[in-house]
Amino acid sequence: MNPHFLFNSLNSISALTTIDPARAREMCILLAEFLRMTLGLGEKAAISLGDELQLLERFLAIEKVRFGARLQMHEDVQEAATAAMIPPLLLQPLVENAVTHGVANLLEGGVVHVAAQVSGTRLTVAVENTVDPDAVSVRRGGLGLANVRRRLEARYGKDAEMRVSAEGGTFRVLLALPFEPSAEVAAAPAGGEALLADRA
Amino acid sequence: MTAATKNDARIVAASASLGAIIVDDEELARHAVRELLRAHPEVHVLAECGNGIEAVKAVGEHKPALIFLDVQMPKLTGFDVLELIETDAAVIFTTAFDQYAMRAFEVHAVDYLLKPISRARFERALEHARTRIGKRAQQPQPHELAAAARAPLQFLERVVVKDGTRVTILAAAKLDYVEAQDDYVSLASAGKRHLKQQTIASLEACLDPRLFVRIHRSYLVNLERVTRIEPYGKDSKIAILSDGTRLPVSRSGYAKLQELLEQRG
Repeated sequence: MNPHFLFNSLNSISALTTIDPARAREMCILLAEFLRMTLGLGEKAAISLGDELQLLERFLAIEKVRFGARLQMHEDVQEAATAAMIPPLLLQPLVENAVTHGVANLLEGGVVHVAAQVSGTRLTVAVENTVDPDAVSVRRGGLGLANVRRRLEARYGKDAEMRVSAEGGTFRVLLALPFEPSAEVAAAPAGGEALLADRA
Repeated sequence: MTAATKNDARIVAASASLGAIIVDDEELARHAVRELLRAHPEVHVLAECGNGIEAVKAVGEHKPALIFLDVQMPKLTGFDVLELIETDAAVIFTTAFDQYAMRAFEVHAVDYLLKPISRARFERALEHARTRIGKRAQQPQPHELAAAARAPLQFLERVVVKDGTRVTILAAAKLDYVEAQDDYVSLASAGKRHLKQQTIASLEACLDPRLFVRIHRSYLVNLERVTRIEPYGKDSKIAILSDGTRLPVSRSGYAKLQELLEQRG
């Protein structure tokens, strides 16, 4: 996690304590939930995409307090995809990049879009964000992307693919990996929602 | 100066009215500064700016004595803003996390505040600013500060140029060459010329020396653009760039060029 994120969040809370104490408390809770979720993930080899998304929703909600109307987010996730098991915090650096290198660099802000779907034995996840097309240095790589690539390779070898593209005003990272549904879902017929509810 | 007169001077400074602007791309962060200023009715907030471009404009319009300046902002960073403004305002940087800037500010006496900002630390920064404003002449110029605040061994990736109210950002790698014109430099990039108030020596110091070579007292060239060097007259040489531009090369400039071109193989 980028230390900027933590310090800027604390700064937002500090400002909110006098303007809107209820929102300050709300943000404390969001931040606590986010940190608690990330702390527990170290030992796990895999989590469901649904759980990872819950974490990302917290993260984006916190960033939304900082950036206000400048940050918009969309999620387009197929229900079946939420059961996919993936290495924990695989998507978090992508979404963090989307905010810090994308939306945060735009005067008018922009959109972070997360999409996931399953087709046959493959899971595809896309993280997209608006970027400044006039930016002098469009950051194509960076540590975050390199780490994601390395982790995919370590876990799936040649079975996983990661494609990065920057076209016009959109930066896109596309991951394609084997779909490995969690054991609970494989046993249960309905999956998705019920599973998420159990874990919440 | 005796201790008594020093104190008197400070009392006068503390009660004097100060115009300030607050620059931060996050509304809540601006609000936090404004709130800390509430205990100081003598400090008037003249403007709040949500980005660097607004800040450059506001400094020109309001001529503040004090600027609270965030470092990381879209388009223009706080450092870029400093390069573009001509002001003797006291600048207090506000940043969430920036180890390089912190190191730079330890050398220069301009203050920086880490967010979230504590009341005690804020008061100290304001005190520093007042002391500064009291002895304006000794203040470093904003662009000097900007240069000092840049991390060591980190060169300019972009050059910001202000023409009236228009701000242009040029990628350093896209500069073809730079020509000295008295206190100005003329920046040639993609067939266009941009004038900036800076000396060629101070610009040279900010650019990557592996890419930019001072080939002449008045010329700094992007090595990537040099296609060949030809003799010219009896003792001198000229460099011919990929777009056909011909630039004079001094003797010491030629030695530097040769050395760099050899290194590149």
